[in-house]
Amino acid sequence: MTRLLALAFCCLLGGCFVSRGTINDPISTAKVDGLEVGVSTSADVLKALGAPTDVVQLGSESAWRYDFTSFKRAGLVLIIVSFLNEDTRSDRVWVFFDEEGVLRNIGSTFQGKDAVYAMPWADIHE
Amino acid sequence: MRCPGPTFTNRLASAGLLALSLASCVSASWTRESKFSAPDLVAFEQFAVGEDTLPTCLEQLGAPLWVWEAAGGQHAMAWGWLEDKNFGVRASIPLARFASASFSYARIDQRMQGIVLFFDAAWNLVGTRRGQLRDLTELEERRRPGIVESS
Repeated sequence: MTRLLALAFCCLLGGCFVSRGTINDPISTAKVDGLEVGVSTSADVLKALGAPTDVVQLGSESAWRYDFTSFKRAGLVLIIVSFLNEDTRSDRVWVFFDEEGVLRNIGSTFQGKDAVYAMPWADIHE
Repeated sequence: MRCPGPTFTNRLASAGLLALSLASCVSASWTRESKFSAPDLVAFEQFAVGEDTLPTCLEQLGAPLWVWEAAGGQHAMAWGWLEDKNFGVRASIPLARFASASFSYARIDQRMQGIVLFFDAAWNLVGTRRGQLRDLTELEERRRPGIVESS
């Protein structure tokens, strides 16, 4: 009986989990590098990167956003204390067109692959 | 060696039941939520209004999180990041907090720090802000959808 209780107690000591998720598909750096400011048009961008996730009108000009988000969660749950960590990173590309649909500016950040599993006390992304 | 008596067994059973009840009712938690990375803030502090332009800002800071048409015909863009740590006693294990979608571009996380750059119609830098994104942005206003024209 004592051993059974001890075993049951040990089974309740803790648990851990990890999970991950993504939103959209990763953005190809090669395709972004293939776009040429002052030359590429909105049609070229559509062909290279597909449909944007957001379109913003800026007066007579416009800007499109492409993004990929990755998040990773890790947790350790003990009887009366739990440790949980969530890390979210993303790839983002903004392309800016003039009133004639010619690409004028590109801004990009590629950090989607940098999301990590970690505990709250760990130094990450330092 | 003496075998544990009934009193010890009862105490062990009581302790186990108490721990089980505590696990489902009360727990301490240490949580951290990290979203995105801060851009190059040293470069941001060195931006000069009237001198820097969109290309130089994008080159230093990378892609913003949001772009919108601001008041007065200006264009605005924001970078945001979050490092939120919490430790406390909770009535339940906060797994549900992480059950929903991690981030939505349709809504600013009110806890995020951020910077905002403002440009005129010619994409010359006309203003900068830094602080809590909720205090810096008016993203819910003056956003209108763009029309994508197929070639």
